[in-house]
Amino acid sequence: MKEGRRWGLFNTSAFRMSMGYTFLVTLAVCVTLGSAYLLTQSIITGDVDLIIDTELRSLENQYVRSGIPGVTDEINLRIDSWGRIGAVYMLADPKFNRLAGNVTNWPFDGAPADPRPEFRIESIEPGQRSVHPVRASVRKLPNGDWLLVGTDMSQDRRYVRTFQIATLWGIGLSILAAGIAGFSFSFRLARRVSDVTDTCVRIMSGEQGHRLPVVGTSDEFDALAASVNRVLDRLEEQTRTLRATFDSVAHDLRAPLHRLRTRMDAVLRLPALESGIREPVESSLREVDRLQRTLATLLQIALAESGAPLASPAPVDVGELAEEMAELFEPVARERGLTLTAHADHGVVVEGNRQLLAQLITNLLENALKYVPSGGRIDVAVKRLADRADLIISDNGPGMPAQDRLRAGQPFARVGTRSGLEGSGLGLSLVSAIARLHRARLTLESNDPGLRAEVSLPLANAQVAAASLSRSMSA
Amino acid sequence: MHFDPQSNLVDVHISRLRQAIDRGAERPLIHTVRGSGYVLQEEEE
Repeated sequence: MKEGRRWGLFNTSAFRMSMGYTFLVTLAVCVTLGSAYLLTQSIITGDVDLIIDTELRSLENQYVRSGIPGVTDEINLRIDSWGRIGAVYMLADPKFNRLAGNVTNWPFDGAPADPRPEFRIESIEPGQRSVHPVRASVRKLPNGDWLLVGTDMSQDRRYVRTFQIATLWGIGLSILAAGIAGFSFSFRLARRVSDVTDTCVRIMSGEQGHRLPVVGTSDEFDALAASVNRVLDRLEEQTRTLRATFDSVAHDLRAPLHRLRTRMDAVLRLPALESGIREPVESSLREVDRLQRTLATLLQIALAESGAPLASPAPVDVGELAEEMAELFEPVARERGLTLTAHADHGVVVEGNRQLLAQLITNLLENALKYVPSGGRIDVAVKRLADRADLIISDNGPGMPAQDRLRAGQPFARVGTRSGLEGSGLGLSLVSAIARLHRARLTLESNDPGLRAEVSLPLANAQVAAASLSRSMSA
Repeated sequence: MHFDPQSNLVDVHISRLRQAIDRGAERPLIHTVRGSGYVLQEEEE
């Protein structure tokens, strides 16, 4: 159960939603920081390219004004005095031999195809050797000489790398933060929802006094809990009123019925009773009997349906009980030309009320006795499973249509009414009420042909424990 | 709460008992008491 709930967190809508949001936040952060990174990089290289182009143009102008010597002078001047930091110049002859500039060798193999070629310079500064990436541009002067202007990018590259690291950290941290927030959010949400579900389950199982927890944060959950609690209060009040009414009606009916019966009985004992009166009084007496029985059954159903847990559950050996009941009904079955057999596992103990379980078996058996035609067979079986006991009563009679099987557990839903078959229409509803009271599952299915009623009862705890012990011992 | 069969379960068993105990006897021991049930006694009142 606990395990299930823990894994259940990944299955909540809150978790899926927060994972979705985490994903969206991650995507947004990636796009923002990524485009900032690309933009910054393109601005930096754009600036560098602009400076290179300007310088190239001014050197070309110099060539037009004063030829190669002028360009050489200008380059030397720029390197020596006012040259910008990281500037790289080179003037080479048509065979790429150096004429002037601060680069010793032509860095490319011939003329570069790329309009913005990049290369590396190894510089030996006092103390250490370092490699500088250079972004450059190359022009061919009208006399066939080559002019190269470039910029040392190491400063910018360092800046870009720092930015890159910052971006990655930013993305990582925001994913982490969004993930943690989403996880705790969905965990808290799932816990509150599961609180509500748990309480509902407890109320359903009969603890009607239970109410949903109101935390006091006056949020939407408190509002929900408060409304649900109001609904529950109202339901409980209605149920109480209904039950009180029902109880008083039932009791008010019981006493007069009993008096009526006693008096009719007294009439029948009169010595000078005319035979013309005896017959109608006797049939009325049978009607009264039927009424009393229906009333008693209704009271039983009401008690079982009230959802109150069994007053004093005791261990009941279902196998033994089923065999006893089969033995009790065997003569009745034989009288009607039916074969009644029983196959029960022994020592199958459930927690419950022996009398109610006997009533359940009785009703199922009487149902079969009523509907199965002469020559048919009825079988009672009790099978012990890992943590349940299956009580199965099957016959090869006419069975029950599927739609009848579904509503057979409802009061007064007498199915396939036939003349001559007496029934209050309460038999199966009492069965289903008793089954519910024992936390059992009642299924009616076709036996092909016939009806197969299966009542699956939970085994008593001690039995389950013993079974799992013996399993682990034998394993 | 009592156990309440609706079929003639009791009648069938009583008739079997009668077969076993009273068949051929001069004075039957099992008697029907109208409105109450059955009684086992030597003499009918």
